[in-house]
Amino acid sequence: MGLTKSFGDHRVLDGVDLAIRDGEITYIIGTSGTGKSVLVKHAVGLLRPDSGRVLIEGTDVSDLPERAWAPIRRRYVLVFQHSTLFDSMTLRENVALPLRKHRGLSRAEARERAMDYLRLVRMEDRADRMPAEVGPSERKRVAISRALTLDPHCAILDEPTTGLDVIASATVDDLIRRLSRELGRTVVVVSHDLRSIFGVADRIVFLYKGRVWLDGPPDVFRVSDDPVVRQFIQGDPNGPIV
Amino acid sequence: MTVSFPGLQAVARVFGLLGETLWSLVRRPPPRSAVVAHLFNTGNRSLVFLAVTMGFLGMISVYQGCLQAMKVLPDLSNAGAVFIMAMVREFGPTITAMMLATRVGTGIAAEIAVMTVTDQVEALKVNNTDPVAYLVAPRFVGFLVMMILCTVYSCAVAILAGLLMADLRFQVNPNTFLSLGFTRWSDLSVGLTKTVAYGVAIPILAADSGFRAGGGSEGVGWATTRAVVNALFAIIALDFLIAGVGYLLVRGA
Repeated sequence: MGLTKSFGDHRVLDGVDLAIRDGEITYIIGTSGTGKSVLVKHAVGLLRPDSGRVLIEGTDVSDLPERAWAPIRRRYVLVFQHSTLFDSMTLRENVALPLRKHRGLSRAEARERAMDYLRLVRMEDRADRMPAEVGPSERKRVAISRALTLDPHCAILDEPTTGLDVIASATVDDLIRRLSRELGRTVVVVSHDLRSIFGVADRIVFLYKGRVWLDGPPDVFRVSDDPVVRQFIQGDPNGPIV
Repeated sequence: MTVSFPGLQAVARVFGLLGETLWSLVRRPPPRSAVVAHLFNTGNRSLVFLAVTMGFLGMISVYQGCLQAMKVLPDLSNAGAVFIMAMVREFGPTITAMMLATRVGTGIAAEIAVMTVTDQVEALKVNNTDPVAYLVAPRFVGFLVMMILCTVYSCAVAILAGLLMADLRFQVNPNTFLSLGFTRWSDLSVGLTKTVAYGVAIPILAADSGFRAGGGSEGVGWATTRAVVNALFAIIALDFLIAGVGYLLVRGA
C-alpha cells in the first residue's frame, strides 16, 4: 500500500497500491526498469520499502527483522529471474536445500523427496547434473520445482520465460497453469512476454512510472485505448514510452 | 540534515560482517566437508606459489643483506640470526598474507560476487539459509587455519633458500646461519599475532567486497579488485599497528 522505493536518486516505485487475490494468476507487466522485480522482492522481505506498507494476510511485515521472514518465505516463494540455482550443487541438491533448511528433513530424506519434485517438472533423469550442464529452460523448471518443495500458498515467478525458445516458454506456461488450476496455488508472474501474458493471466497489472497504470483482466488490456498501454502491447517504438 | 561518513560506515559494515561470522560459528559450526574443501583450496593449492615467492625472497634478501653488510663489517656470522628474526617477526607473516590475499582473497570475492549479481545470495535467504553462515564461515575458518600453517611453511622455505644463498655465495656455515640468537619469544608472539590478524581480515574483506558487488560481470571485476586493494591496505595498516604495539609492549620494556 502506497509503496515507494528509491535507489540513490532514482525513485523506482512511487506509491504502488496493489492487492493480490487468492487463487488467481496475476501478471505484473511493464517495460524494463519499471520496478517489477523490485516490487515482488518486497513481498518476500528481500527489500524494505522507503515508505508505505507491505501486508501479508493482513499483517504488516514492512519492518520485520530478517529472522522473522522464514515462515513467510515458506508460504510465499520467489523464483528469481536468472533461476539462481546454486552452481556448486547438483540439480537434486538444489531442490533438496529448502527441504532441509525449511522443513528440517535429513540430508538423505531431502535428497529422496527432491526426486518427487523433479519428476513434477520432468527433470528426474537429469537430477545429478550440475546447473551448468543443462539448458536455461531446464534450469527454470528446476528452480520452479525447488520453490514447490515448500508447498507454498503463493509462487512468485520473476520473468520465467525470458530467454527461452517458444517450446520451452510453452512448457513453463503450462507449468504455471497447472500450479494454479491443479494445485490451487496463487501465482504472481513478472513478465513482458506478451504471448505468455495473454495466454495464461487471469489478471494483469501494468506498472508505469513507478505506479500501477492499469489493472484488470486481459480483455481490459485488449480493448484499452490508453496510448501507453497500446504502445506496450503493440510493441510500437513510437509513442509516450521512451 | 544527515551527515554521513562513508569510511566509518565501511568499517562498521566490515566489523558487522566479522561479528555475524563469529556468531554463526558459535551458533552452528560449518559442515566439516565445506571447511576441508576451503582448507585445501587455501593451503594446498598455494604451496607452489608460496614456495617460489618465498624462496626467491629469501635468496634475494640474504644476498642483498650480506652484500651490504660486507661493505661495513666483513663478518657474516650474525646474518642468519638477523634474517630469521626478521622473517619470523615481519616478512614471513606479511608476505604470506599478501600472497594469499591475491590468490585466495580474490577467489573468495569473485565467488561471492558472482553469486550476488546472479541473485544466488538472495536465493539463499529465500531458502532459509544464512548467506554468512553458508558462504563466509567455512571460508573464514579455512583461511585462518591455513594462513597460520602457510606462514610457518613460508618462513621455512625462505630460511632454507636464504641458507643456501649464504652458504653457496658467501660461505656462511649452515649451522652458524641457523641461529635463533636474535629471535625471542616476543618476536614469535608478534609474528603470530600478525598472522592471526591477517587471517581474520583477508577473508572478511574479500567477502564484504563480494556481497557489495553489483552490475553484472563488471561488478565482479570491481569486487575482486576492491578485495585485493582493501586486503593489502589492511595488511599494511595491521602490520604497522601490531609492530608498534608489540615494540611498546615487549621490546621497549
